[in-house]
Amino acid sequence: MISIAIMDDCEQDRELFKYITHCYFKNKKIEYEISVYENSSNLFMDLKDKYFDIFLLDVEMPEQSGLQVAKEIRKYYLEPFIIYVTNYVEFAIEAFEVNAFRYIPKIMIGDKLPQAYDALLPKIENMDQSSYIVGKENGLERILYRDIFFIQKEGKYITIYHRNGSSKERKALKDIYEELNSDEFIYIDKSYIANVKHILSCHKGNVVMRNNMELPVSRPRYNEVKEKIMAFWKEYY
Amino acid sequence: MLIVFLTCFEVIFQMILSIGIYIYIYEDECKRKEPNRLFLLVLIVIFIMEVYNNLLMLVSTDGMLFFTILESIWLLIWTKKRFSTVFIWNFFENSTIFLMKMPAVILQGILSEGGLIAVNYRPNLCGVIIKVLTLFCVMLLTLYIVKRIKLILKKILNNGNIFFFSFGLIEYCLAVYLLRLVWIDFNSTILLLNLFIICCIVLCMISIFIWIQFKNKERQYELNILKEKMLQANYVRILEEQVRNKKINHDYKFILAYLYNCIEQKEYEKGMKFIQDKLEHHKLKQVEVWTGNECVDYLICDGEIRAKERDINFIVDVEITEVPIAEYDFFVILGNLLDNAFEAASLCNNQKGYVKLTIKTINNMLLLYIENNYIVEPKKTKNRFLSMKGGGHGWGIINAKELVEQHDGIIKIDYKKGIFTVQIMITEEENDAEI
Repeated sequence: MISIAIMDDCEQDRELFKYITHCYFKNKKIEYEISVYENSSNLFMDLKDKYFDIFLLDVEMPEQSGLQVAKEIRKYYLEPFIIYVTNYVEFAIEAFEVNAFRYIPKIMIGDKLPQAYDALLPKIENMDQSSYIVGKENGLERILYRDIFFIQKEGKYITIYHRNGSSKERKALKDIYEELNSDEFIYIDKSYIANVKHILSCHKGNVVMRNNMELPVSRPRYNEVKEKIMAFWKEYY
Repeated sequence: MLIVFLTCFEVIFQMILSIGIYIYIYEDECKRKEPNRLFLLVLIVIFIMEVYNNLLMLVSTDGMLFFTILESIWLLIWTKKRFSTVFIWNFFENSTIFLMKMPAVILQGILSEGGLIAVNYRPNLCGVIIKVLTLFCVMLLTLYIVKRIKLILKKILNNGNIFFFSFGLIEYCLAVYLLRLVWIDFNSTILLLNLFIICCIVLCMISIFIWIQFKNKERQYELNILKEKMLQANYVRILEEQVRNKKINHDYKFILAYLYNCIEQKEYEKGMKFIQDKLEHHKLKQVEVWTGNECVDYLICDGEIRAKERDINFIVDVEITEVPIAEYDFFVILGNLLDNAFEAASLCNNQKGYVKLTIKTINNMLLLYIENNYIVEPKKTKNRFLSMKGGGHGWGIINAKELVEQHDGIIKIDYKKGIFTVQIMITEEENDAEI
């Protein structure tokens, strides 16, 4: 299911974007969910516990411009798919600064928005779907690799911290590391495995994760961890 | 029994003189510090053989040569030094010991009725005592001297092997000659004559030794004078450099004050002209690149102009939102690295030079990747790359490295097969992640 967030202060425009999006996904027979926001604060509240595949943002907003909103979104998403809508051409160049996927003038929205969706959908479908299954009392839980922030060892158990909270499992850290078998996971300490994609920064012997938790890096591994992060991103791009 | 006991002492003194002193001279270079059982066992076997040999006769030329070779091999395995050094030392030392024993044997030969042959082949208490006493004195004297001239001896052994060898050879020949002579015809005139010859040769040898020492010292003195002159020249250069730096530093604050004034008075054109004159840069007509960071824009534009001038392919891929460190520090890092990259790429004559610049902001980290081709192999000295500009400074990469490390970042420099790459990762110093 594709989840779309639309943010515009003008109700008329919001409805128009919603209608175009609705028509597009209905025609394509793709399951979808649209969340509409009047201002950024509501969107930020939802960002904490909701995942969006596409953001459709109006650039000119009264409180916070769409570009500032995009900077905030980047704290939650590594590569968010953002489509900007605006009346002013001069914003276009600045929009690229915050990794805009598309820039669409409002007068051309009817033609350009479906085109933008056409270009975006393959990218979303091609996103890494690798996942890890955790056995729970009431069934199995599937956690996408890209949603895992880090894994912590707690005695005979491990806790997986992910976008939707945390999951506990009786397993050795070494075993889960081998099972994950992915370059995006690195040992930062004997008790922690972190997802490089969610390491926001690495400073003074600690790493800051996307969920705002600060994890210690063992002193002998500190430089090695930094090198691994650098090597990962070099390969990634 | 007493003879056996004394002979044991004699051999011990002999071994101390040959093996012991050599190990003492090279004690800091010896590969082994503690003897293992096998080494001790071999040494004991050599010792027993020598005692047996000495019990059979007072002096023996063949025995001396045989034990010289045996001890040399033992020392060679022990110290792992060159065979020539070990052998020559042993040969010299054993020849000297051999010659030292000679007067005792000859003297006894004169006094006894049977002559030298009878004395030599039937060791008696008197002969052995004289030998042991002589050796003991020689050993004490040698130990006393060696302690003082250990370093000199080491130097001579390392460089003046020929001296020791010739000295040993002459001693050996002399001893053989004396033995043969007294065998055939023996009287006091010959003895005196030979003693005189021995003294002359020893004096000659001592003179040669002193002369070699003098020459060595002379060479050392000349070398020291040369070093001092070079040092003086370097000091003068450093002094000049210091004066030049002081001048620059002195001017620097006025330059900054002037620029500050220009900005304060909003006379931007004046300030820019001043900078352009100082930098001897081309006037950037218009910044045509837009990355979101003015510093990066400036450097890329500058790079593009340089690339055009030098026919270099300049590939840029920049996605940057925020620079996590002070902008001027980043400017220095990027500026220095691009400078080096263009410098190296412009020297590629047989192929088109290229510089590839990638800057990405990922999460709160900044990744910088610069790649360029080169034809002149980078020269490195004491972790510093030497500049190809001829100025010999090459501080660019060092400065960049220091700045990156100052900000707890990481830098990786790699060069092989004509491609030089620098990877940098700098992370945000203040944690402002929110969720």
